[in-house]
Amino acid sequence: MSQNSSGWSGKDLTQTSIRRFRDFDVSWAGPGRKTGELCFGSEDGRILLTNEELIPTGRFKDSPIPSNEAINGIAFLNDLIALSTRCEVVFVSQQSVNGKGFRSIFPAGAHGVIATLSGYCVAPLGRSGVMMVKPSAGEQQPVTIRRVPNERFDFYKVINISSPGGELLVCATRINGVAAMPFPSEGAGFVSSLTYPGLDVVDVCSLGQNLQAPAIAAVSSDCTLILSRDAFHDPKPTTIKYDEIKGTAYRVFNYDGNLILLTSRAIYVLAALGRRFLANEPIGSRPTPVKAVLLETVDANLVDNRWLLVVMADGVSLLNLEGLVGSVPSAQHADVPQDVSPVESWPDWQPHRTGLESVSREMAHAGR
Amino acid sequence: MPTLTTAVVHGTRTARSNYQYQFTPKHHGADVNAAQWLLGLRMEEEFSVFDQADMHELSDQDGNLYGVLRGEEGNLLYIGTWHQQVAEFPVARAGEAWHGYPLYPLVDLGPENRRGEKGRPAKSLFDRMAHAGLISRRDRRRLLKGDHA
Repeated sequence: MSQNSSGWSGKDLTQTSIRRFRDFDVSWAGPGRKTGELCFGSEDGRILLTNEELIPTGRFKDSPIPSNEAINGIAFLNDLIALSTRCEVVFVSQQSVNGKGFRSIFPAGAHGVIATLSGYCVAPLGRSGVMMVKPSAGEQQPVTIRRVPNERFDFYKVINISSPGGELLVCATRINGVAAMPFPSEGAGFVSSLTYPGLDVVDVCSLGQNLQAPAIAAVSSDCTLILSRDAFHDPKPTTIKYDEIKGTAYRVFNYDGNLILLTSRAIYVLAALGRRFLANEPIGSRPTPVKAVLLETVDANLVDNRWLLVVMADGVSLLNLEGLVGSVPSAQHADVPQDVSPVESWPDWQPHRTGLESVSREMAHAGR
Repeated sequence: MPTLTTAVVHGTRTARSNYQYQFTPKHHGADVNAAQWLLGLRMEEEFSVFDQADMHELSDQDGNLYGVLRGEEGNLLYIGTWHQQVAEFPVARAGEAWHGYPLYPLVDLGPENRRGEKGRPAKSLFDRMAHAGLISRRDRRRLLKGDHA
């Protein structure tokens, strides 16, 4: 069902079809290897590829995951597929090497895995740090772990941003807030973080690649939104909360300047919020059109900047982003009375900058 | 509950198995390297996690019990200082009091020879928690992945 929290008419998403795959319980869904391809991970560690009609086009016969745990992240980089679960990170060759495929296993759980612009695979390992791998030819994949020495840091989600200052990793680190680190860096590098008491940052998204500075939006589990024009240098990000947005926050996405927030209650579309923020409009004191789509979401990812691929408790659904945000009034109507006003706060932000330590590890090699 | 310097045995036993439960200093502030229960969690709440785990027989093949704490709105509450939402209660020797601690959702970086280690609790435990109505189907799916619910 759909609900428009501000009363405007919108596309009826009750028609949204929920797809279930036979003998395949989806735990993760996201982009595949190329435009138009979708990728799914299962609760028992298998991979399924489909087209945009959700018709299967390929699958691994067996699980590449030794623990057979639920996949929580998949990334494709060159010839490699990187997969993460709560128990391990696994690299599998797509093509055979010397006539034989290979699989490398890193024995620590991750909350996901991404491929970066500069050709690394990066996985947030929670309190164990951030794992970085520059895939190389052959079976041995050299692994570097960056972590904060003698402090508790919980690397929960990670994104990669490019700006004129270079490439960055920006992380959601729970009570440590939003953390940014230059990447790749000479030596172990450092992390610059920003938090305040009570904050619990669970996801972060870029407000655009190649902006003048790495602008981001992050979300706390209580649905507080944090917007920063410069994840590295902004000491006081804009901090807003909408009373109408309910539930526990899971994910936040940016689509064409609109923020999409996934919570335990609904998918919320905050029309043009990112765009208005970057344009220096006073988003904290002016209403925002907000639409809620009531779906029991588990997780989601953007695909091809065209789809929101949603994992639900009983299947998956593919929502067209244009349709999802299209029914929300445009930014120039953002101050109409029925819109939702945020509560802006000025927390006592605590900046923190600390050196990282770097640990090298070998990955165990296993045959496919 | 406050930091403990000595173990405190709860005055009530579990309803199903008559198990005794103790609050240990190790997991209540005495050992910073050990999993810690949230400071704001009351003794009764911690015991209720254990009591429910026993009530619904949420045990693995070794006999360890696993539990969660639900809020008034049915949401899963954090119970540990690392935002843990599942507690583990290692099986106690006969006649001894049980104890427990919040369980971190990911397998930590550790020895390199444990490739393929299974997560705790096992996936089947989440199925049983959902079947018992302690977690929703969505919670189950998120916890399986190591995500917060």
